[in-house]
Amino acid sequence: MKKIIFICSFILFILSNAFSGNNLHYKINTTILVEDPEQAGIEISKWIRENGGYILTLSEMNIIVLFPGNKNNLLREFLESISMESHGFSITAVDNTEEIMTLNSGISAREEVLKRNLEFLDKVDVKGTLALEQEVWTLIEEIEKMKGRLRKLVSESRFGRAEIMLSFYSQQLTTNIQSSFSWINTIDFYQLVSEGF
Amino acid sequence: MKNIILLILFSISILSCKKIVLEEPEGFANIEEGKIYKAVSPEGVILKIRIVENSPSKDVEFWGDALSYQLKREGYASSSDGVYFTGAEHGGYYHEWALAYGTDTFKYLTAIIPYEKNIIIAEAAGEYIVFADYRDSIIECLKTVKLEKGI
Repeated sequence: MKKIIFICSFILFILSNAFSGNNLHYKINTTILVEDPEQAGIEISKWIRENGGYILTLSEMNIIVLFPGNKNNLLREFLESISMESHGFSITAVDNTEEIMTLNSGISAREEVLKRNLEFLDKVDVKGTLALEQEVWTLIEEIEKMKGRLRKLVSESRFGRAEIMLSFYSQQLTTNIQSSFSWINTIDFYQLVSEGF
Repeated sequence: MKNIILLILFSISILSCKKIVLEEPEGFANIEEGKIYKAVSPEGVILKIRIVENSPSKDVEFWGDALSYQLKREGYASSSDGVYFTGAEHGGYYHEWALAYGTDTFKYLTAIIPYEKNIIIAEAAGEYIVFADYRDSIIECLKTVKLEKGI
């Protein structure tokens, strides 16, 4: 008997974890240092589209995307591959399972009440019809609101949201640090580009 | 007698002058040749090669480390690891850097090829995206650089 209880508990645990995992909504926030923000933006957009996501915002320094929720690790690897450095990579996951279950049961309950009310509608007088009609509309409104919220949560579970800030080199060079080797001090980017031809 | 000595010294000095010989990088126009080589692409990617004395006389590893160390100290951001390459007659080392210039990001390539008593120094720079188109031809060109005696 103990064994059966243990096995049942174990199966329930696995199922609940699996179910819970399907309803996680990921949010990623990161700032990556790239050589060329424009090019990085193009590469990120391409990767997102190829992997089934889509772009919400694409500006020179900021990209907001929706990506398939099960690809958050791949997205992280991709961002690391195109960046020189990553300044803070935060990932948060919200489990929507409980709210989805509450909404589902709420919708079912209201649909049942709605069905009964509609059945009564033909059997009542004018006054009763008006009262029932008011309740029917209220129920329909509530059901639609709950369905809308449910669709949003299901969609969130399918897609994670990533906000990626792009930064590029804007460092100031220090020219007062001299090398012991005189010729090395003549190696200078700004001198090269400004001396002309 | 003095004139003869001066003539001999002048001849020796001419013979000891070295000029840079290379296979021209594809897509560049030559601006200057001889002791200093300069070329530019239609979009303004610059390539400059010159010679300095290898003093103290050290090898490519030493000078590669010294140059990379100094540029990092000055704030240059390395965009890749330095690369050792086999040149026409001597080994060389190049390192790529990325830095802001105006509102754009530029790529800056530095290369050294210790060549007997000299070091051949190459610098190339251009807008990051444009530079990518010329990078390979610049590196191929560096592999052909050598010094010849001449005026």
